[in-house]
This record gives sequence, C-alpha cells and structure tokens, in this order.
Amino acid sequence: MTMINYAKKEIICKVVYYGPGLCGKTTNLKFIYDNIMGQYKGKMIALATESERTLFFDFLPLDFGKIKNFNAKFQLYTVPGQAYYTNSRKLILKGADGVVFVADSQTDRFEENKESLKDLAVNLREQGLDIRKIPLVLQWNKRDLPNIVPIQTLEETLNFRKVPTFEAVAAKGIGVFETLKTIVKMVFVSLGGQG
Amino acid sequence: MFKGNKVLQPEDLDKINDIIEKLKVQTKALVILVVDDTGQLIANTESDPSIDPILLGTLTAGNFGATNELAKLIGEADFTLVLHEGNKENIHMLAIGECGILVVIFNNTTPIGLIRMYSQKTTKELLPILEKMQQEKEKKKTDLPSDEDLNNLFNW
Repeated sequence: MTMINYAKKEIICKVVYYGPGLCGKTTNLKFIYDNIMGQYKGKMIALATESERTLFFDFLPLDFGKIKNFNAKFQLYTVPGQAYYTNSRKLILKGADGVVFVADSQTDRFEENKESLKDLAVNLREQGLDIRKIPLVLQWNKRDLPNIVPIQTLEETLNFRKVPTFEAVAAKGIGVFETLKTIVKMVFVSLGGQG
Repeated sequence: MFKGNKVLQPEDLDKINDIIEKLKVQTKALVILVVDDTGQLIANTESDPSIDPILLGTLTAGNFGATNELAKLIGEADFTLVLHEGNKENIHMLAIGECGILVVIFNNTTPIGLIRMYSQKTTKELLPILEKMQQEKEKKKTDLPSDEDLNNLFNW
C-alpha cells in the first residue's frame, strides 16, 4: 500500500525482505546501509537478539530524492525468519508494496526455503495481498559456501512465477544492490499500472 | 485483488496539521505524530531534531501491532491505547479507528488524564480524514517516474 502524499510530493513504498532464519536478510540491509550514498539513507534500526537473530524487524528508510515531481522514499524491512515468529511476520507484511525473498543456498537449508516461501504466500493472503501478483524478487544467497543447491534446482523449486532472480553473497555485497534496484523498479512499475 | 494506495491531498494534510497543532497547544505535548497502520508517518508537529519522526512512527506501529496480538491472546479484539511511562517523558498512543495511530509524547508537567481526554477527541476528528485517504484515487499518473528516471537514479 504505497502512500502518495501530494502535499509533500512524496511517494513512500514498503519493501519487505523475507526468508528463513539466518538466510541473510539483515545482512542485505546492513550492506545497503553501509554502502549506499549518505544522502539516500536514514537511520537503520535492528531489533535483534545477541545471537544476531532478528527479534522483531530491521528497518532502513531510503530517500532517493526527486524523481520527476515526486520525492521517492523506500522503507526496507526484514522479518524474523524462525518459524515461530509467524505473527511478527504478518504484522510486518501489512501494507507491503514488494517482497525480496532471500533463499539460503545451502543444501541442508533447502526445505526451510520451501517452507518459508509457503509461509510468505499464506501471510500475504492474510493481509489481502497475492504472492502471484505482488512485485517479487528472489535472491539465491550464500553462493560462496560449499554444499550448495544448484541454481537450476532453486529456480525450478522456488521460482514458480519466473520473477527476476539474483545470485548473491550478501556478506560481501555481491548481488545486494542488483536485488534492490530490481525490486524498486518493479514496485514503481506496479504503481504506475494501477487504477 | 484490491491493492489500494493511500493518497494524501494537500488540503487533508493541512487539516491534519491544524488538528495536531491544536492538540499540542491543549496538552503542551512535546511532539505529536499521526502514523498509519503500516507505520508510515502521515504528519508530525515540529520537534527536537534528535527525535526522528520516521523511526518513531515505524516503532510505534510495530509496538501497537504487537500489543494487539497480546490482546488477542487474552481474548480481546484489540487494545486501543498503549502508554509508556518514563522518568520524565511518556508516550501515549491511541488508535484512530483501524486507520492509524495518534502518538503524543509529553513530559510529567501534563497529567495523563488530560492527554487521554484530548487524544480521544482528536482521534474522532482525524478518523474521517484518514478514511478518506484510503478512498482517494491517484490523479496524476504521468507524474510517476519512468524507466529512464529510474536508470538515472541508480547510477550510484
């Protein structure tokens, strides 16, 4: 649910990074925060436990400045990945304009990716959103680790919509900005095509 | 699938600003914010630069959402009021129907009862404006950025 503020000439969009526990959602946001130009970023908050697991959500506001007549602002959120935080995930998906699904490429996390994607579909539906229509980008993270699932298997299993996908090593920043740019563009395209 | 955007027209923002400025005078509040139910800031009174209204709005909505889950656990439909009391400053959050939250930050010179009374009155004034936001249609599609604009934007 984009907010279009004609008074301030602002468009404010919400993008949620989703995926199983410890797949690298927060790492994506941290890399963006550390590497994006200062003029674009606001203050990041991370509500995490000491073991680096996200407890509620992370939040990073980005202000891209003026595009045509509007000031474009994006608010990036992550969800807590562990299965039992499903209520938190529902809350954070409320009003989402786009979703980045971060999959953990490691073989032993394959099933968790599938479960998390199903969980995303259910939770989106509860917010009146449709996983088949919402702007969505998939990121295959941790491609530098041993014992990883082949890209083709990930594509066949998780990319049922044939949406854009990116190989990534979020800790090193590989694929992070490509993912962000693509979801931002998709959200804008969906915004323009409404009504 | 319905995916309505919220559209805030200049005249509606003016009305909201007038309402919260009036509340600020009535209550001597430090800062007042109007946040939508997804955590997006709609309006705020001027405040100390150390207070970031965008972060405050996001955390408020998260806090409010979590509190409503608590309500459901004990069999309540929701909690409409959340109050945090500090040593010197306090945060009073009151639901604006199902559309948003009125956030009032105030210090100990103002009695909580006064904040509660005026906040309730204020949410009633704000509710129709926030409901209207959800029904507004975008008027100027041509103002949205083109592919070229976006490509230029991402020349980081």
